[in-house]
Amino acid sequence: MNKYAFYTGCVSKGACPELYQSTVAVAKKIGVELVEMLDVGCNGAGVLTTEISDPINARTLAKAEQMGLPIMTICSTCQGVIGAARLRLMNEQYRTAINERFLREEGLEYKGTTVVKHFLWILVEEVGVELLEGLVTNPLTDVGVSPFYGCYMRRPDDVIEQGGRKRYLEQIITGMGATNVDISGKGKCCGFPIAAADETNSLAMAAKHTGEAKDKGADAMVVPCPLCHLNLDGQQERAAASTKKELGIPIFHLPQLIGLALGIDPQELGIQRNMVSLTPVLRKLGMVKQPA
Amino acid sequence: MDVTFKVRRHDPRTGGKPSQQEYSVDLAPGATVFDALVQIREEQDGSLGFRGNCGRGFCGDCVVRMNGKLTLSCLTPVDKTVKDGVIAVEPAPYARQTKDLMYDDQTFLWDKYRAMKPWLVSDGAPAKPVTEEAMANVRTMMRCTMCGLCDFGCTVIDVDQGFMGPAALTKAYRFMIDPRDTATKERLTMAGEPKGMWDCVHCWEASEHCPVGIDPTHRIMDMRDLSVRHGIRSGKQNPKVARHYDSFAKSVKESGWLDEFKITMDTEGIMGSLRLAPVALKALTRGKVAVIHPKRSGAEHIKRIFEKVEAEFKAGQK
Amino acid sequence: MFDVVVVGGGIAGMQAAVHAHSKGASVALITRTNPTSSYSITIQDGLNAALGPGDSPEAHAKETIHAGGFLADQAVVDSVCKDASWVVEELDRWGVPFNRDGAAYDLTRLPGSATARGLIADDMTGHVLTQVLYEQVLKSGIKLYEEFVVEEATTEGSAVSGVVVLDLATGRFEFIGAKAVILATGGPRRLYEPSTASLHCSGDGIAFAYRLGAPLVDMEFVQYHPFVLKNSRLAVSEVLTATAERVTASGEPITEAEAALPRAIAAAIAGGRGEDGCVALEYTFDKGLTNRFFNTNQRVSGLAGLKLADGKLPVRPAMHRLLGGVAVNHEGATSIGGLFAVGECAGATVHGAYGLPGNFLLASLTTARRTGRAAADYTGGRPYMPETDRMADHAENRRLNIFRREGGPNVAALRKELAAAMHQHAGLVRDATGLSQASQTIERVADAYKTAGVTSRNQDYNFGYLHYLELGNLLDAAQAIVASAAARQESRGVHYRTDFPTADPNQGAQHHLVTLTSGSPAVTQRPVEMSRWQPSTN
Repeated sequence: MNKYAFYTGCVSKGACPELYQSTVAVAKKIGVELVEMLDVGCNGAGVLTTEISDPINARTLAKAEQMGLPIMTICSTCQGVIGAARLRLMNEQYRTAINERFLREEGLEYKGTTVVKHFLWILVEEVGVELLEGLVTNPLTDVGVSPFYGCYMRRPDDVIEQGGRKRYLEQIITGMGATNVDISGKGKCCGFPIAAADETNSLAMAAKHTGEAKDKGADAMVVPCPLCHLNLDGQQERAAASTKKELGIPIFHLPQLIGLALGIDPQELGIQRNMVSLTPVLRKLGMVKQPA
Repeated sequence: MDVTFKVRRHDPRTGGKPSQQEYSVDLAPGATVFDALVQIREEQDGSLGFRGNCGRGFCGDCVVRMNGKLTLSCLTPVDKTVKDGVIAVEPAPYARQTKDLMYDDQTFLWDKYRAMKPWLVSDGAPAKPVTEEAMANVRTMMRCTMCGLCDFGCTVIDVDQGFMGPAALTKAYRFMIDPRDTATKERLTMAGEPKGMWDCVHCWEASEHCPVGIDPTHRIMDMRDLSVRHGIRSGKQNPKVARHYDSFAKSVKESGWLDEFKITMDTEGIMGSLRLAPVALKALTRGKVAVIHPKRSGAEHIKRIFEKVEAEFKAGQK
Repeated sequence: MFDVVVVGGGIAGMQAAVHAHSKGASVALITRTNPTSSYSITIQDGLNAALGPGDSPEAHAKETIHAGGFLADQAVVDSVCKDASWVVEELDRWGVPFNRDGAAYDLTRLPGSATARGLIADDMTGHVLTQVLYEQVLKSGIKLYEEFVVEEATTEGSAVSGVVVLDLATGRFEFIGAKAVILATGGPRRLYEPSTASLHCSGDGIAFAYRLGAPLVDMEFVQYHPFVLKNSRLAVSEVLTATAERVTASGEPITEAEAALPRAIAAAIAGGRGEDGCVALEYTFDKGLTNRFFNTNQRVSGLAGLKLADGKLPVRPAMHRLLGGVAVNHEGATSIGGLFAVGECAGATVHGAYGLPGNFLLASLTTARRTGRAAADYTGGRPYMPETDRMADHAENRRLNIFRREGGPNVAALRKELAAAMHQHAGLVRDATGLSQASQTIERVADAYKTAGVTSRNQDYNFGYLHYLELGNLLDAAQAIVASAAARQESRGVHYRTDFPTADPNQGAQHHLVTLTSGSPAVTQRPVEMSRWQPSTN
């Protein structure tokens, strides 16, 4: 049985509760045991300086090490930032300095052994796409889905570690019976990180990627990152307004897409919480009888 | 080796439309795409517009798209690029085309570079000891040939060419890490203005595109860290960014976690928040933001880490 | 109208411009490419300066003079070696990040030198110096004419009056008036094939001065780089080859050094001992120095698909530098009032018959510093020549005439023919018969050039016309090189005559000057200044 120290990140406990609930529901269904890490902090999300975030992340890594479990993340940014910190902390001298200066006080020490994996990686590498396919009861036949990774699931190479990981979303999409609708922007940034600094650009990015998926005929997009979700789903209406283009393309959280195919009740996956309604997709699947 | 080049031609000055022209060349072994273009221009068609001078990766002027791949044509061997005897050559994206494969590099790159006060400023003695370690870091930055590949790969430039871009920002950073330069604070303020370093989405595209290992995304992040360390956080015209950072840090420091609602309120202010109100309301009705982070166990340790580092920053600024 | 116009934006040109400006002159800098894209950026050796413990400018000068076969003017060498510390101090202040060993400079012993005195910025010294000088150009507010081609330097009476330029972007000709013109165009590398030339290395300044009647000096000394990567223009950095253990052809070591090394390699290849026209350069690659050779590694990988760490590269010699150029005095002044020359197009007589790695950058930087200041001084109190568009009109008409030519020989084919002949007969190995054949080829090409057409008649960015102009300039330099080489009936440094294989002390005491006289090169002599060391006394 696969067991992980579950690092939820902030957003799945805040603005995207549907990500948390759908992750828990899917994990249960496929036999992945999650032990939620409660006494850890935000990894800094690339906003806090590394002087502050590295000790915080060393602490998180040490906690998982104590639990004897690999960390599972459900957010590209969490994965990228903790993953990069983990790489830096491979350097013994640096790790020792962080341990001495910050962790020793609460009796912690990071030894450098913790593995950090995004849920997507676990699904493909440890659960296996074949096993998932075997569990599909409600194949997403004829539903066109565009993958959207978010930057931190594609780059930098030393944090991603395996080039194959850049093609996992497509495997999940087709594994769930949906049709992969490739978009050129799938590895680009969603725009969320500059929502405060440059809203115009942030919305332009959201509009560009959702627009591309729409133009290519996708019925929905799927993201492994709640921040991408906030911008592509949460801000989609404003993005559409800013570019005067009709968008209206629903955005799945990764576990929502899988959960739907595995026959989990849409309500349990929190799809009613998505800002852009998923009803058209459900209708296409015959899960909603009446036209809206 | 006989190869056909299908080159995109366009001369906006004469009002012509873009077209594609075919050239057949017999190339020497080991020829690069740049060699081929030179041969075409010298032997067949002197009107073919492209830049490039050194032919060995130093001038950075010869970036074009070759059978889809955008990089320096002088380090791209023909035999590794050719498909079915053909190489399609197109200009780099985004920038205004001036002639065929040439683009307006002044507007796209150099104006931004020049805006960064790109020379060493010294008010006398070096601020810090001049060590090999410091010089080695400066040299890594100075590998830059201004080829523009980082800017061509930039996701922000993809939507806004007004963004200063990784090339110019990395140039600014080159001086910040030079112990002989004494204008770091001025530079941080300059790079922190709107369309500067805080507009970067840190998507690592620039780092992936840089051919000389400068890792520009990392450098922009380093520069932002430096800015925080100096207590500057953003340019004078960019107060929202400083508010965002402060609120973000405060939230993590006090509770261990982010509170998106508070951060939005702090960053946007009342008026800005009103602008976002329709989205927020819709989110609320959908139960998206029901959970406000309780202060968790472990929060006091996060706070302790913050206080320790912030005290060091303060001491360093004195 | 400017006090000083600098033609060429490489290291020497920018250094001269910055220093002329520092003396209060109004300065314009004209560059054919982006200022950070000149040939200078490819220089990967280093900058010699006698700064190490136990070293001295005297020791440096002595080594330079010996290496140059006693053909360098000794007082000039002396001042170049002495000025080194000034130049280095200034460059450091401007931000050059020279490699250090702790806080002191990490000096590299470059090939041919007994002493470690090469300052380096990894394997990209030229690129780094170019950037820093460009930064200083920007800081000083010097007027930049980027992507402008100088077609001719002009005179009024006996003094220079300005330059005629072609704006590449628009195709318009323009006259830029100046009290002083500093030629900094670099050398005519494209006269030879193979060579380490950048695309636009046509050494125009040499032709401009020659056509105005100024003498050229030391033109017979054409230095080849021994190690140029197979199928490329990349000279393997001397910082790397300083660690070279051996050069082998079919496994047999080649033991010659310095000026004789490229000849020996070429002979081995010609004798069938090479592989694919190359020999093997073998060296010890210190993995701890991976960063130092980052650029070389990336280029070698891109150009030839090889890895530096393998410790072996296929190389062959290629023309690298012309050691002579426009004859100048101690302050860079030519024989024409207000016309100065710096860098590789200048015959500063620093290198003599062989130039040591690390001395090229030093000679350029020190002489350009002096020349920039002298040119600014020269302009003080002088009136501007009257503004005239006459010269620009003349250039326009000339282009019109060339555009009207139908058919005619192809410029690229002519340059190729010329470059092949120069390499074969006026390159590493020379003799009377070969030089006379080279001479005939030059004449034939020059004749064909008179009717040669261009493949393009557009106004904007007409590179065909640019290459046409470049070939004209290359032809003038070729004429001077061959005339000078024919006149030196001895072997000295890089000038090797199979018909006169030894050095002749009498000829070795004279420089050759080539002056355009009634359309032909006339060779005269000038004694070498040997105030300090004599060949016999060592």
